[in-house]
Amino acid sequence: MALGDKSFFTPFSTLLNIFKKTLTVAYPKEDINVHGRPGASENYRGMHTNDLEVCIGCGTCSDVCPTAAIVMQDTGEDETEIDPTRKPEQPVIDYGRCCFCAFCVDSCPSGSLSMSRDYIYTSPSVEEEPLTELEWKVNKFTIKPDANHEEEKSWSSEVDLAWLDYVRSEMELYSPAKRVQSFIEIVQGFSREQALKEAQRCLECGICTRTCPAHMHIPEYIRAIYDEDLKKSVNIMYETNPLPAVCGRICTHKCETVCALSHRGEPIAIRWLKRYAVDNVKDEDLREVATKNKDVVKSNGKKIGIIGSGPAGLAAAYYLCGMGYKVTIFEKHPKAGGTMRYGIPSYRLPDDALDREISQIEAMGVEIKLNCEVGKDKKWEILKEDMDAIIIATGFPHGRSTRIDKTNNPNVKLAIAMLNKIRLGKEVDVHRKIVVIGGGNVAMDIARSMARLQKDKFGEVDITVTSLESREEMPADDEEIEEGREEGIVFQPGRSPLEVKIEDEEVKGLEVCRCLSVFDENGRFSPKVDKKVRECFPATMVIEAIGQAADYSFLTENEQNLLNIHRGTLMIKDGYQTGMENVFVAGDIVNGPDVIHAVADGHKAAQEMDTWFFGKRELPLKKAPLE
Amino acid sequence: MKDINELIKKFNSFFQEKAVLTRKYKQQYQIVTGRDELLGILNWCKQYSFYHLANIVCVDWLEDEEFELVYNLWSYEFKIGCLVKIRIPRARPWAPTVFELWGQAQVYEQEIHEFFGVYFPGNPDLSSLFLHNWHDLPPLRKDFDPVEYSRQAYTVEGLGVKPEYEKEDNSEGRES
Amino acid sequence: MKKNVYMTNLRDERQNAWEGILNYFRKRSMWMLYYCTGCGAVELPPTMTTRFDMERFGMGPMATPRQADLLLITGYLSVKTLKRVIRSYEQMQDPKYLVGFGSCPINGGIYWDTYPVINHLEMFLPVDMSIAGCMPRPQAILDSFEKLRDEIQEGKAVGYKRYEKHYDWYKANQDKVLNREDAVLQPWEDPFADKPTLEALQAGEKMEEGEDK
Repeated sequence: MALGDKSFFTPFSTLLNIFKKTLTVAYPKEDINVHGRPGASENYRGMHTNDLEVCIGCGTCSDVCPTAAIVMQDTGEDETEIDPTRKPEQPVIDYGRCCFCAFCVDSCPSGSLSMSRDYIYTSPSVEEEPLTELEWKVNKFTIKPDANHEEEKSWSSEVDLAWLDYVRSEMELYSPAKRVQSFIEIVQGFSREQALKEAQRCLECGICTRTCPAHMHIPEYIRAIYDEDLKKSVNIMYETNPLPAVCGRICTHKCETVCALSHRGEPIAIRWLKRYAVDNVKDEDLREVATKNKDVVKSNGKKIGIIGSGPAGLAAAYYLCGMGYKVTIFEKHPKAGGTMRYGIPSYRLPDDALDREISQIEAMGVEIKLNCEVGKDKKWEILKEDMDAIIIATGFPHGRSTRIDKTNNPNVKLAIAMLNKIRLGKEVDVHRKIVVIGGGNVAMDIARSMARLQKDKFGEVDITVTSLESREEMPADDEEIEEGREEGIVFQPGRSPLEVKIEDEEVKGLEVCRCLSVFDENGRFSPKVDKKVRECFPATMVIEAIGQAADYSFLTENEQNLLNIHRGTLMIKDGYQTGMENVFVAGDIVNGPDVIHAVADGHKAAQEMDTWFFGKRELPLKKAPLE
Repeated sequence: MKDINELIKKFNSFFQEKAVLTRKYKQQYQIVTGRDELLGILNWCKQYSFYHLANIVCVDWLEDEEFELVYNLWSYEFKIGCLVKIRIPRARPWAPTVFELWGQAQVYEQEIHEFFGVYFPGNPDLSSLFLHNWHDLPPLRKDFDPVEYSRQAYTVEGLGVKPEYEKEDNSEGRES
Repeated sequence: MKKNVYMTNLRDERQNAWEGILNYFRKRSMWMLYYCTGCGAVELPPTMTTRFDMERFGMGPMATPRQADLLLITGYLSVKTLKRVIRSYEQMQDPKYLVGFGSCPINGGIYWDTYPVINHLEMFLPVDMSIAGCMPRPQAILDSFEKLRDEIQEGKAVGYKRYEKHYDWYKANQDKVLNREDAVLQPWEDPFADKPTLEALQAGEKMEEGEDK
């Protein structure tokens, strides 16, 4: 008998299902379980979780949010004290706005923000007064996400799926075999397409601005490059840096090390974008924006003398001229530029880029007296009489010796002097086997310069670079070391030099031993060596590139004491003023060797000097539009 | 008529310089014309197999200071669509009604009138269709700022909503 | 004499035993009226049907406001729908409860910047329960109902009393939005307010052309 047919028993046929498992999910006793464990799917987009240790406060989530639900909340930390790679801000999410689209997660550069499988958040009304109830509820649904839902983490952004472009656009370099043959510039610069592609990666978070010593408006000028308005871009650069083309080549780019994208990918090539903008802007546009303040402020009759035409001197001169001062720079070499011209090899910074930059500064009205060494061609006392104020920006013109045994041999040389000679075009001794002592950028410069000369003379490169620091600790830029290795230079890091081996007044090699650590626990320089593990690098020439020293020989001893020199650098009072009333200092002698620090110093010294003369004042300067 | 090319030829010879029928995509043709020729062209189109008016679209070209009206036609015979486009000045926007050709055009025009402020003389009903008590600029015009409107019209600050006890205090003060 | 009504909190009003018994039954048979203006309507079918079976809690749909206890606002409200919601809510008998679904009734949600959609529902009607989500899943909805049942049992779901007590305030806000008399940003003057005919417009056009020439 079929029960399904219409019969007396038909209504009872449902009893057959009585022991079947029901389809109903008796929430909240149980939950659906179709993904291996009860609850939402494995990549559900529920409440946010934010790893506050990793969050850098860049605000990209807030910018990208389509419902304006994310606000960056100040954490109340002091900007100067926290880690420079982040801003003192953290996102707060309004669940009265959020639509759980996960745009914020997909565009989080550090990957700290993710979403969880938790999604239940309900609240009854509790307040009496309707308006307070409204405000209370909006606050109740506004949550600062932290690592609360960490265990239920689900939707998170993977590097290859994220919306951000973590890969730099390719920069064309000459091949090692080709570039080692001459002093031609290695980096060829961005093309328009490459620059636009690179510029559009910028998140405009502004973390870089705070880290840059000169506080250049980096997001703004990258935006101008993206808008293909190079004139505006260069205009913004000249607000804080009158040497953008130089910095676009040889800056130590601290900005790139803190770039928001650097946490999970390659940082924006800020340096090369800057170089692209300055190299490609039209000459007349460059002249117009560089000299826009030339006649805005009336001349105030004050005469300023600047000793040294390095980056600090030039920057100070540029901004002082813009403020109405009459500025004269004294330079002992036949051309202006200081270390930029006579220290840095031309494969990194070619002369024409430097000349273009200096010509803008001269067009501003700065007088540069070449071949005029203070103390020799121009007496310090006379200079002091002539000028209303003086800025010493002499930098570090001398190299330092390791002071190990037997360095007095003529074939043991100092790197700075050698680089000077090469750049001046003088004949330099080149040997077949050379050892360079040092792990900084100067060591790289001299090693790679000598490699080019060796290749030219003998057709092969045989240079060993040895340093106290291990490979990771070496202060030189990574790309410098990598490029040097490609050009055939051998690196022997982690070794301390003991003595130069000399037989019959001829250099035969360098004796070294293992260096265990360079810095002590407090970060102070005190190398620990193991003298049992010895080694000898055979060579007929040793070059020392372990540091640079200043030259104050034009001052009297009494005046040198007033400068308050401590371990080679100056301890200055606030305002870049020295013990002598009208003598200011700027550049390497204050902050150590670094071009962008020098530029920043020059700018600040100029401003401080203006304050010293006239007090705090607002000048009617033409500012670049930053928006 | 079987051939679409024949139709195009006929159209172009009929209207000559006033309007040109051109092919835009595989199944879409377009006619760009002026306000004066609009009714004539639509009439012609309806006679030659474009029986169906799918919709009317208004586009705000803020920088050109013009509105563009697009009449979206469909021919069942040739299986092609045809866009008839006219531009009208933004300051005093009006266009003749096509209500007599297609009855459904009445609501399309009513809606465009509500959201862009384009006037269609001859349309029997141009009253408000969707909006409630609207006194502002027609909201789909590009110079209308919806964010600011929303802030002023619906938020606590924008409406000047006060807690109730404050109001009580004020009224008591006035009474005494 | 005017009673100082602000001294006591409606939520903390002590309920007597009789009310306690009433509330016990109220929470076990809720008839709901769902106002499906927004996207949240799509989450209700699974909540009501076999999968999550809302009827386990004694909840069921009701056709008319007058017989319903629970009003569900499933998402955003435009000004025009707000008017109808208010009317429906006022038709419902006490005690009545109102649940706002998702982000929109709390702070505007994804429609926070659009011209016809209100931002805070609490400004116009008293909300008893809010659920985060866009839209909330059936589990979240059931969770909120669970909480609402507890609130009802404890005599704390007092939205309707709040509405009664602060009626003037709510009414003023409703009037401000619904019976708006002036433009919010800038008033618009219809250049064709006098409704000219086609012939008049064409003639005017020709006149202007003539002047140009």
